[in-house]
Amino acid sequence: MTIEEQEIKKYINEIKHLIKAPNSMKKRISADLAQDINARIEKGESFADIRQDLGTPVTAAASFNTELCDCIDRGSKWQYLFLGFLALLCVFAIAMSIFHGKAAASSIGIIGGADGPTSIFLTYDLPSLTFSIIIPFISIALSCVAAYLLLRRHNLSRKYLYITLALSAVPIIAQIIFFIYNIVSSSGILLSDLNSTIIFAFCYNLLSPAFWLPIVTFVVSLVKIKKLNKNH
Amino acid sequence: MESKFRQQLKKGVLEMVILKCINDNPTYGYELRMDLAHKSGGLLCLKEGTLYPILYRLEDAGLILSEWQTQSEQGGRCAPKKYYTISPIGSEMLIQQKAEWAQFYNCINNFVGGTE
Repeated sequence: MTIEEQEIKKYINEIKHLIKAPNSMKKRISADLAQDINARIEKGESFADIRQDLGTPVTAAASFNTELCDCIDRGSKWQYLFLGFLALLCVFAIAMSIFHGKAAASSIGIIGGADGPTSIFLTYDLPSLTFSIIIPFISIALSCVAAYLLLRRHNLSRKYLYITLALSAVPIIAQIIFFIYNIVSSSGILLSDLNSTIIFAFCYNLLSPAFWLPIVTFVVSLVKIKKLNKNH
Repeated sequence: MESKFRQQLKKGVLEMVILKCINDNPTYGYELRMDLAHKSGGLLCLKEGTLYPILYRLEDAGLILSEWQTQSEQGGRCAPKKYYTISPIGSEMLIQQKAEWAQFYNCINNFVGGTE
């Protein structure tokens, strides 16, 4: 790298540092500034002249900052609702894990007399816990992340949208498994009650945000991808 | 220092003017600035800090497309340049903006008269 190239890089980095914008925008600006300066050098201007024309890094950055006020895509304010909800879920999960740890420790069932063979059973129903609490919990958490990402920017890239699509698809699949489990776990019921069990399980799932939230985020992601494909 | 009135006028029409320039000829940032300054007789002398955010807005809205090129006009290699071209939506938007501009121009002239 020549001394001039080093000076250009340093100058651009100083401007980049002073610009009040997300990192992605800063990268975009530095790349464009570099090509602008190089184009001017190709036309015969010296870097000293260019620098004088552009002004100090403070003045150059100030002109970007003024214009960027309307340009920065800050997304929807609703994003913070999902972020807050996600934080609440995390607090709830930590509280639950502490509470459940204590409850599980006290629920060890000892069968048999003190003088006979002793069997210790843990009355800990892991599959039931997984399906009734952990899966809906993870589903809501993933959907909140997807909703937050979708609302972070108005114009999302294709890669970003595929991530939100995947984040929404996982809870949907999990909820389908949960729905089937609800029906299967009701085995032993009379055949006449099977229909009402399915309806109950369906309504229970439908009312749960763990079910409808990933569907909403999935559909929104799909619509945005379709719109993006149409635009390009 | 430009008057506030002129600044406001420029702000209102710059997107349309830039869209028109890119529609006429695919171009890159510096060339576009020179083009604007030359064709406007110095009235539209834009700073980098003014032009690039407008280009980002247009690009993010899907009105223009960008592509990095390292080929010079003479065919040789040169420093990478981001060339902007108008998208189909951008062309439609330009037609719409031009019609609105003509309507607006006539309307305002009815109030303030011609160029006398």
